[in-house]
Amino acid sequence: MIDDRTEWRPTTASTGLVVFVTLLTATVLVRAIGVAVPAALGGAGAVALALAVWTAGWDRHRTLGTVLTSLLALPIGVGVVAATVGTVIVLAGVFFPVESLSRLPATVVDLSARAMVVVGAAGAVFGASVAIGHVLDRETARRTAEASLKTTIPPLGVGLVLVAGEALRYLESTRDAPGVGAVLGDVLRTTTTIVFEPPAVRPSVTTFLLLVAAALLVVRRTVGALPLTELTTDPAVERAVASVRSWLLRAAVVAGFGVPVGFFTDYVFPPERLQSVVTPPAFDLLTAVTTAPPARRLAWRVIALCVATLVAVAVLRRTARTAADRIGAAVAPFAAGSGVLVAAALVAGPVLSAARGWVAATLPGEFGPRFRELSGSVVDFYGPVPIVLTGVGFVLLVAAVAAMCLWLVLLTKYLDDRTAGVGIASGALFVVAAFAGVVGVPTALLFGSLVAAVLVWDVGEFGTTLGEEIGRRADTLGRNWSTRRERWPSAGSASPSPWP
Amino acid sequence: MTDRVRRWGVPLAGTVTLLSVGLLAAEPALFAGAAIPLASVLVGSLSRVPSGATLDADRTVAAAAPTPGDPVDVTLTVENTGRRTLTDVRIVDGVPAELTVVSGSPRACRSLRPGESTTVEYAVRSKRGTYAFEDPVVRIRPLAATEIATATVAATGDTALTCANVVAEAPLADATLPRAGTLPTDSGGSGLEFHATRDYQSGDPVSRIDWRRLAKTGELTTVEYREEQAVRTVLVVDARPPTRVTPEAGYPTGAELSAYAAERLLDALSRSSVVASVTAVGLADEDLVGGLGPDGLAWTDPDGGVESPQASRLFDGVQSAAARDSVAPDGGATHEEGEPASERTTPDVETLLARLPPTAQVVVFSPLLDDWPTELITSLRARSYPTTVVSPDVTRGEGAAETVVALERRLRLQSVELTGATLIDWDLDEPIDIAMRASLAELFNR
Repeated sequence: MIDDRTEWRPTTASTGLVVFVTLLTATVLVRAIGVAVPAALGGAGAVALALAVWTAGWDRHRTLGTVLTSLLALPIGVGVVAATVGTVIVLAGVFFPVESLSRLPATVVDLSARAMVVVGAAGAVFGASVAIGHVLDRETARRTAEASLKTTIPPLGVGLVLVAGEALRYLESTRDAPGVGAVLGDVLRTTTTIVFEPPAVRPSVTTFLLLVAAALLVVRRTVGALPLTELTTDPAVERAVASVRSWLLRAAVVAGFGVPVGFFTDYVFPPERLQSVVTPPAFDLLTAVTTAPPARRLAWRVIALCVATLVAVAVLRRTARTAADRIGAAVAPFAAGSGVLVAAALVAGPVLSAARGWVAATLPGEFGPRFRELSGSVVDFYGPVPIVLTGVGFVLLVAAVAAMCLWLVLLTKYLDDRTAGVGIASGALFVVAAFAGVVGVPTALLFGSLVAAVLVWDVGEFGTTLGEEIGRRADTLGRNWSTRRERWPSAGSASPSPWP
Repeated sequence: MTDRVRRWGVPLAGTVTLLSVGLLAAEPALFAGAAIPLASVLVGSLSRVPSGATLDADRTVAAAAPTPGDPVDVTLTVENTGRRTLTDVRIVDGVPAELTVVSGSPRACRSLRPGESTTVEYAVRSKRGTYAFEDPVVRIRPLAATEIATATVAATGDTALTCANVVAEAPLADATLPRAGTLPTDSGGSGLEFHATRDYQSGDPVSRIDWRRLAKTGELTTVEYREEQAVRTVLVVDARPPTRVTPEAGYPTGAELSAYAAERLLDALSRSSVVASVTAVGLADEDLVGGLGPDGLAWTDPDGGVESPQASRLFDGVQSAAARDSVAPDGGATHEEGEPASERTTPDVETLLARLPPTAQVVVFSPLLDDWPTELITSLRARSYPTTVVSPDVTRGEGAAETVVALERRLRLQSVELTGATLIDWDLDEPIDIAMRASLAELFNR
């Protein structure tokens, strides 16, 4: 059966030639500058990006496609980072230290040009890869960017929270932090003292009643949000729920009215006078109750639990009203991001140790030991998990940014949807050839690469037009290559409508 | 019509990149290398379609009068009659939009030297009616493909495909009809064949008194003969929207196949002097010239068989309904918004029964894709109408949906058999004549 979705794609011969010439040229040029491992990782990342764009375009299996796109975000990010930062580190290890300061500019230019060759080669591989299925367009690029960005949120969010928590804990625990850190530490300490652990020397009615009122209101809202009345037909349950909510509201209002009184007793009335007014036993009892840390912790936990319940109920209610496929496509990136988070947390220690070891061994001269020392202190302070989670989050963010750049280039029509793949492949080959010329590859190789870049564009564009106008199965070589088919899906496919 | 195509954007960007990087790095090789993409840009900007290019086209349609559903080979020959070589000639033949290409492709891309010709071969699935081909469209480009000349070439040779059912040539003439126009009954009365004797009743014709018995026994008895009633054969074509489903893209729908079978049977009956009526259920007012009858039925008593204008109008109406309200291969109905087409056009079974003559024998043509025909046949059999069902099987296919539909149809066939109706299951892989012969034999050998 002929598939109408593939019939009008670029011809197989042109696509094959584009892919072959692009890969051959990129491989030869990358081998000429001698950065094999980062270039291979960059190429793998480029293929992963092409696969992600492809899977993002699956309409019949949208959820599965979104899951795969989300999971591919990590290899994409790793590839991009390897092709850029990795290449620079490897080349820095080779070129530095320089013999004399006068050679520094030339060395930097050489290093940058080689890095650009690797980046361009990765771009060419990506262009050739997406040209295979003719899968890159504005919609697939947008879906890839969206899925990658959503995948980034869980690991980056958790990583940043853990890192920020560690930093705040440190600032709260020390008075020796430099600059703004000291002020932030003072604010943290004061806030913690007032809200969580007020000194038991006098009543702390204001914050206590505020916490109680907030807890009661949140509990009332949670009871109202729970589907208790929907799950039972007993009218007694409905009445009981209404009664509980009413009592909670009254209690919260009473606690709220007590806040101004508490403000007066806490901050205006001297403790001795308050003690004389309410009698010492009552003063002691009031102090013990309003400053008890367990009571405050209980209120905070109730508030946290109720907020979590409210969020869960809201998500479930929305989910119940949404089509299953849309739910899957919407939730899949977050699920994939959570999976990446868990996996990263499990292997954080060994991965971080290996990465630190590789960078330290690759960096030239004194940079290696210095990096090892600095990174060691950072790891000791934050721990491996927050660092790895934040790092993975940033790697995913790089993938999302790459996909967004792709989308923007297509959105602004710098690249045409029709010829996006071959355009990227050819343009990237021009970049590779230009910077390979700076590095000093043989002239014949340089000129051959430029001819290949022109060929890739010419053949790719020609094949695209041929596919659109004639179809992939039409006879284009003077012989009847077309095979007998059972059917065409519609009569329209036989009419000359694509031509104006 | 000639258009320029700016396809040198990427080589131009490459040229600028090479010059910029060469300038920044002071690398002479890059300046020299910039000449390569620049040359591509220049060649593209200077290329033009050869002036005076002319092409001739000739089309051949292999089958003169195919039957519906048959593949028909079409050959288009295009010749370069100009004096210049055309490096990139793209041809698209003007296949009628109603027909589907089933093999080959009506499109091609060739290079043609002066005087050289090329052929484009493909096959279309025929449909009932006449379909005119449009002239082929030709698009020419220079080698650099930066200019496009598009033109329509007047094609000589065959310009239409006609599929007219060729009923007159149908191989049904050898079908023997043992009896035509009358049907023997189990009731006694006037006739030819002896049936029984009974006591004489006042008013009995004198010619039917058994005089011999009177002479022997003195009893006055009357001889009764097997009555023969004039029979009208009613052909019921199920053309409701559920039947407008095609087994393959481009193949006639179930409604069209039913109408086709009914048309062939009507022709055979009329040539054998059998009185027949035809009705098609499921048509809308706009489908039939003159509209439906007051009871909402498209009913005709054709005088002259299939060649009568009334019969032609009815079968054309089925064709028009199938084309207007067909169901796409993906299952999406194309009827207009609002009330579902099946509800708009499906008549009540009682209406149809009310229209049937009491002595009719009924032949129902339906693909049995829903329960309406089963209900009709059950009602017919409950009223003792001799009923034959001819059912084209349009449930071919290996997908899950096709399998389920085929299973449901199989169950309906079983229920039809249980009612006592004669069932002709028409496998579309077999010629329609086989089903027709079986149908005729069953119809007249009761």
